[in-house]
Amino acid sequence: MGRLWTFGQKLSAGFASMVVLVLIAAAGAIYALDHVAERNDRVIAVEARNLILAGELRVAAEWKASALRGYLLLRDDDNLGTFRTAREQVQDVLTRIRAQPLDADSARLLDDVERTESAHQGACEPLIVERQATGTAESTGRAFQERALPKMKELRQQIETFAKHQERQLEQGSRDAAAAAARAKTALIALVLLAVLVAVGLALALSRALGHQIGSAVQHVQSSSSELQTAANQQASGTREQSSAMSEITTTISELLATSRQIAESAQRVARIAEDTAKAARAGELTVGKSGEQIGAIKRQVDLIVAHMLDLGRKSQQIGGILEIVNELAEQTNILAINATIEAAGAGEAGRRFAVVADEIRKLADRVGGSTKEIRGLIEEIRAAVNTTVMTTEAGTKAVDTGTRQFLEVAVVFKQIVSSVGTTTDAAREIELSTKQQATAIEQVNIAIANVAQATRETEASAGQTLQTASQLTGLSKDLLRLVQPQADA
Amino acid sequence: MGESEITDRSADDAAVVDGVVAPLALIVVVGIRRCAIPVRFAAEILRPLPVQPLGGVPGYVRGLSVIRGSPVPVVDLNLLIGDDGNEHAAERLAVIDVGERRVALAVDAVLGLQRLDAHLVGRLPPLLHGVGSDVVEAIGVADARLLMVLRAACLVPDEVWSALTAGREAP
Repeated sequence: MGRLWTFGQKLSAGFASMVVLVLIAAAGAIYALDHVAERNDRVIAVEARNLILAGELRVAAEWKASALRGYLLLRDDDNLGTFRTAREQVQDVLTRIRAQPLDADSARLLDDVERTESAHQGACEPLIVERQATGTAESTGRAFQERALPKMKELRQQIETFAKHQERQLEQGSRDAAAAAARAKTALIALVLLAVLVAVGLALALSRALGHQIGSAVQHVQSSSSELQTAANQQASGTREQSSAMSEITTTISELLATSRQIAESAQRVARIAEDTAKAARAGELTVGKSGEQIGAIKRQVDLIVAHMLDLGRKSQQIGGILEIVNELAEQTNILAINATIEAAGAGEAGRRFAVVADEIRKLADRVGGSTKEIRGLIEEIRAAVNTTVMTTEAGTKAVDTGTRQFLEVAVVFKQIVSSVGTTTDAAREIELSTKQQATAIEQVNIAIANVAQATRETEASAGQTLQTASQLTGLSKDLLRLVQPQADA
Repeated sequence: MGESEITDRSADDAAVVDGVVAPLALIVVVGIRRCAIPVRFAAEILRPLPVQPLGGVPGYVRGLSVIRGSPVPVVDLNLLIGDDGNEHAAERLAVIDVGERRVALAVDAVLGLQRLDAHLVGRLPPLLHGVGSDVVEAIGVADARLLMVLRAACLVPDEVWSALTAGREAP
């Protein structure tokens, strides 16, 4: 259960135990002091006072005897009065002694004193009467020595005995008081030693318990301090990196701001250029329309050329057909001429002239055949050229058609360009406006980043202070651990 | 026999050129080659006619064509003198009479009659003996082109004529 007590409870319990011990010691001391004081008071109030009263009794008895002698010598009233006063004082002292607490011996001795004093008074009274009755001093002196002086001596001896007895009582009382004081001192010393032992035990137990508890807590604090120090180091490092990053971000934001302004200016220029482009596109649209009309005229001319070329091709084919007939005739003529030549050779000299004619006919036929071949080649070239021209023209027609379509598409595209340029103009203006807003936002971001950078620097400083505090806390925990667990320092 | 045809030429188809008798020959064209056939064997020149193929004859005999109402064997001159490996139009038929036999030579073209220069026509070189020497009698140069003088009588071997005769007489 002691483990569940708090540090304050344990200290309070220890202090409460010490207070109880102190109270016990104080009570013992008070009791001892009271006992010693009581003994001393008794010694002072009883034995010393009895001794003093014994002294006063001796003085009063001697005063009474002295006054009696004076009266017996002088027979004056002063001594008589003094005698009477001394007698009363002796009685008073006896009364006061009787009032004191007396032991049996003292009471017996005091009874003896009172009895002797009464006997002495009985012996004195006749002497006073005798002196008053004309007796002389000598006679009275003799009577005094015979009757009163022995009593006086006896009284003086008894008073002395009483005083000795009181003195012994005083000494006995003093010794008893000293013994009581010594016992009280011993008891107090024992109590103090006991209290010291208990206090040492409590201190050891408390020190051990608190040392264990505080040591464990201090070790936790030390471990936590180390972790805090590590965390502070990491925080400081992270904060420095963050600060560096913030600086880079600030630079980047500044560049971004400059870029945004450039973009805004570029967007403004783009808007102006887009307006010019829109004007040019509208002009281009008109030009394309005119070009489309011209292309339509070209297409019609090309179609006409194609028709003429096709007609030329047909005519060439007709020429080729006629030429085939001519060629056939030439070949047949050639064959007939050669056969005639052969026949002429077979006819001998009679056919020689015919052979010459036939050979000429063959040559003519050969020339006709060669010419027809050339014409056929030319016709073929014409047909090829016509075909090529037709194909080219058809390709041109297709190209014109394609061009027409493309011009139409170009016209559409120009319209789209005009529309797109308008859109571009609007977009460029929106970009300009947005970029200006962006620049404003970037400036605000820049300010925010500057604030964040300032906060980061403050955080860095705070991290440094935290690190310093963690280091101090680690040192303090080590010192504290060294204080509560010295062996832990080894 | 060919040599005798050139040397023993008749007065009808021979003439004297620079003191040398130059025979008259029909010049036909087969590919890049030119061939000369003595004119006394030439009958006529015709366009190509339909040819009926025959079996059991050499490859250069294309078949039979009806010429002037009679079947005449058609000989591919290109295959006869050695195939040059090229395509030939064979646009003319040169009909030749060898004795009682008539044969049609399928040629690319017929140039006409020409007298052979005897100085440019020599006998077949020894290295070419046995290589168509029974068909080619002599080799010469005409108009800077190779000219082969053919033996008309040997253009169609006798066994071919026998086969043709047997085929013609067969029911």
